[in-house]
Amino acid sequence: MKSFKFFLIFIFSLFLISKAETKTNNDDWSKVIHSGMNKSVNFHAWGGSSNINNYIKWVSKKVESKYNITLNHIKIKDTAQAVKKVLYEKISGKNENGSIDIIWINGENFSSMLSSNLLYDKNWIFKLPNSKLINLSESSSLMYDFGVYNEGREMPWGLSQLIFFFDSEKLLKPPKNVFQFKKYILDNKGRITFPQPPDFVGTSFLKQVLSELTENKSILQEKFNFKRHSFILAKLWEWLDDVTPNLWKRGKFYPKNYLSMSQLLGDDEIDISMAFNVSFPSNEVIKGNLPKSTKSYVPDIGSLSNVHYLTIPYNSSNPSAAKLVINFMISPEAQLRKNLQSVWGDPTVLNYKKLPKKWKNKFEKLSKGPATISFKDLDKKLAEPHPSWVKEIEKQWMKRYGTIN
Amino acid sequence: MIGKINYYFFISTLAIIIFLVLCPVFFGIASVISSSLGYFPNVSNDLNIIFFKKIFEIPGIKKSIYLTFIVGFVSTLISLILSQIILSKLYDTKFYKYIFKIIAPLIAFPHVIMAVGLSYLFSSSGIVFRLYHSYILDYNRPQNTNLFPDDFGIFLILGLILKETPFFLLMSINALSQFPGRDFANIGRTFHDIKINSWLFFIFPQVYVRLRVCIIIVIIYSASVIDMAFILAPSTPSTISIRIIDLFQTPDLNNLAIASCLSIFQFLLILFIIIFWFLIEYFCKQRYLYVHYLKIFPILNKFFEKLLYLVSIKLLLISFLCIFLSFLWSISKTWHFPDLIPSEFTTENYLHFFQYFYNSLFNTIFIAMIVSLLSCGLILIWLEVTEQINFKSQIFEFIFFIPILIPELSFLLGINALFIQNNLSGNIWGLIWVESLYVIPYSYLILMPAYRGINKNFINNAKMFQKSNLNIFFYIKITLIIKAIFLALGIGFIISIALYAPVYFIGDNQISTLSIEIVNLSFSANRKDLGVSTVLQMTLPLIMLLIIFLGNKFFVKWRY
Repeated sequence: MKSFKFFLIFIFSLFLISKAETKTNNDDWSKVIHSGMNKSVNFHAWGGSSNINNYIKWVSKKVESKYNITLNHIKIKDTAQAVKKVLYEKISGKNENGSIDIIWINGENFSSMLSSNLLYDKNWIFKLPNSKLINLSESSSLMYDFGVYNEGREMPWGLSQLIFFFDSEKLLKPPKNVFQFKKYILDNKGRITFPQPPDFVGTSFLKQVLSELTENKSILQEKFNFKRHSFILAKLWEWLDDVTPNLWKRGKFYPKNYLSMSQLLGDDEIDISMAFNVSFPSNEVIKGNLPKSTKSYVPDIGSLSNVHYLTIPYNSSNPSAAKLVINFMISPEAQLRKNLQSVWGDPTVLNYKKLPKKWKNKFEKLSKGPATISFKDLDKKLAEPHPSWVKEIEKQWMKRYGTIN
Repeated sequence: MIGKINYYFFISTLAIIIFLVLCPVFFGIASVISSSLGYFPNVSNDLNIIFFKKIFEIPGIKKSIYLTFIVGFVSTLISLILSQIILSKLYDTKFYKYIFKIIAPLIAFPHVIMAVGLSYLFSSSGIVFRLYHSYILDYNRPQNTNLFPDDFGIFLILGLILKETPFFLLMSINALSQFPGRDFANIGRTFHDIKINSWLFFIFPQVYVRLRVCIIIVIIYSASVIDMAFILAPSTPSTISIRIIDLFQTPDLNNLAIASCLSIFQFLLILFIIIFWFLIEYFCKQRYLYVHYLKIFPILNKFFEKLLYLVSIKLLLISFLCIFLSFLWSISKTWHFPDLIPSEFTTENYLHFFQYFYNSLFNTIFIAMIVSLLSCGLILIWLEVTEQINFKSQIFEFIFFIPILIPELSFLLGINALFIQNNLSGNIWGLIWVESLYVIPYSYLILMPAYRGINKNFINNAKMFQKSNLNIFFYIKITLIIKAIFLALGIGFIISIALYAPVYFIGDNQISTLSIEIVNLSFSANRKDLGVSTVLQMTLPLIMLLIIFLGNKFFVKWRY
């Protein structure tokens, strides 16, 4: 009987504690608002696309009017540079008042920040009010960045998927799997290329080929082990050995990134280009850089897809202000605008079921651009291999094909 | 003459200037050495020389080394030869006077413009292939050639030649004014009827001696160039500079250590090229070879004189074509393959550019102005103070040249940590500080002879009227050398806008200038924006030259 009484008290106290916790959560948030107002936030994000830059400009106007926060978009060429800067600050003992408040990140860069302890508190993402609209349960794919559990240290911001695009007037039947791709390259010498790894899209293309060549795809989710896994990579090298001499410029020169590759498609130097941004081809058609007959597709088996995130470094000077900005960036208003074809076209991370009705309607009404792929095709997704594979693929590619001259 | 307090004040002023010049170089090199040994405070303190071994394990590093060596040596050699051939042809003709006017703008244009122009010309959808397709081949698809960029760095060499030949020309003209070259030429002509021979035996040795420092500077520049190599060098693999930056970009301390080792290695390699150059010079100068020269050159001349002269004229044409193409792309709306000229023209590109890149444009102009003013001011203070305390050691003043005589990566790579610590990274004043190091030597070169050449009678007269030193400095000395000051400001401005590596390392993505944008835009192959930015990058030096010219015309009342 006594134990039952204790049990009751215990249960009751648990209830009290949890109640108190939610209360402090709200209090916490008002504290965050209080300390985050009127500050400035340095947002390090890839600045290579004017659409995305304009969208970030819009965000900065919004947070300025909302919280009087000055959001500085620092346009970087490569996210690794931001990671390196935090690392340098750690080396020089600058553990507070760091120069970076938010980084747009995913994959290898995130896992390297995670392993060198360069990130802000664990589970901070759950404390933002708008995180309720996203499915952040432990089993959700949004919580796994290239297969690595993110420990609640980065907030999902958008989804990307590798898409291929081509001029439908010149290329009638694009290759839909790696075997057709190889045949196409051998038949049409010099008409295919990919950005030079370690460029993000270039490496992704290699991973796409690897995923398609590997029958048991779950093996790619394991950590790379040279002894056990090199036979899997061998298939990729075999494929590339046949293909490389027949690539654009005989595989001796590669475009620097997907933007210059798309310019090559526009110049009719190559037949197929690729991007990690679903609405990129449509936007290029509108700008006049690609022909109006451009169409995009994904391979039959599906294509690599991943989530991109926003994270806060451990030494951020204004973590509260950074949280306010991130909370706004995952609000339905900001996510809807990001999803608009004319703005960026990046799919939302919000969970449709969790949205209020008013926003559900608005998301349903979104229209697509002329060269954008259908939603049905976008459902065909392949999971990213574990980040440890990336390093190995990049290193080996460099050794085998990056220094052939 | 001067009081003790004044003396200490002067000495400390000099010390501050020396500190400003040497501090970043010294700490940069120290930091490169310490990180090459794997020493990173707060993270890892073990010293290790294993990273030096690891540079030879980088895939394709041998090719990168050969490439760097060939580019550094060959481009300098060819530019020197071409400049001498042009001079020997034009010396003593009525065109000689005009050479300076033609090449001055070419020198003022930043190197990267030639790189962009060459890519417009020779890339597989460039003008050369457009011509080929519309007149020879009836086939409207760009061909799959790997002509540009080539495997051997030929285009990088070509790009460097386009810039260094005018530089050597200018420097040779300057050297020619230092000795009675015309008399030598006349002596030569009495022996030979072929101009180039008399040039080679009577004038060239005199010019060459005076060009030695320029040659060293050009070798260092060509073997460590970054922005041109990004656009013109092959990428599988590229030159050592690019490999260093690739390693530096990854967020991995081991790679940073290897990058530091590689930059030290690059320094040694450049030293080797310079030694190699002077060894060859030594062998060519052996007296017993002269007889053979006398036999060989007249034969060679008949074959090569005209050919080489034509080549140099063609190079000049290429450079003007490069400039013209940038302009054409900047005003084109649609220009599809294989059209030879754009099908639609527009000025929208400029509006678009100003809308998105006004920040870079503003930074470029602002930084260049401050940098040129600052370095000019510092050198003037230095000259005045050294005169006051009667200290005129030109050997000591060699310290101003240290920053440009060390390959830029060797210390810029190391400055990062120091600047991050002191909040100077991504800070415009930090960048201005480092850029000044590259401008100060030229300000010194221009101002020193003018300042120390001031006729002392003016000063003595003023002193008789009990004028203070400050008065004399501002009202007499400055007015007397105002021409040189204008020139120094202009040259400082022109050098500053062309700098790439300092902005890359110190600006740290947060400060962007036109030279950074040009490389970024050429990566993303946005030819219209690229055209606009190159045109702007060319216009700024031209405006500056115009200002110098007009300034001289209106402000210089003294004729002496």
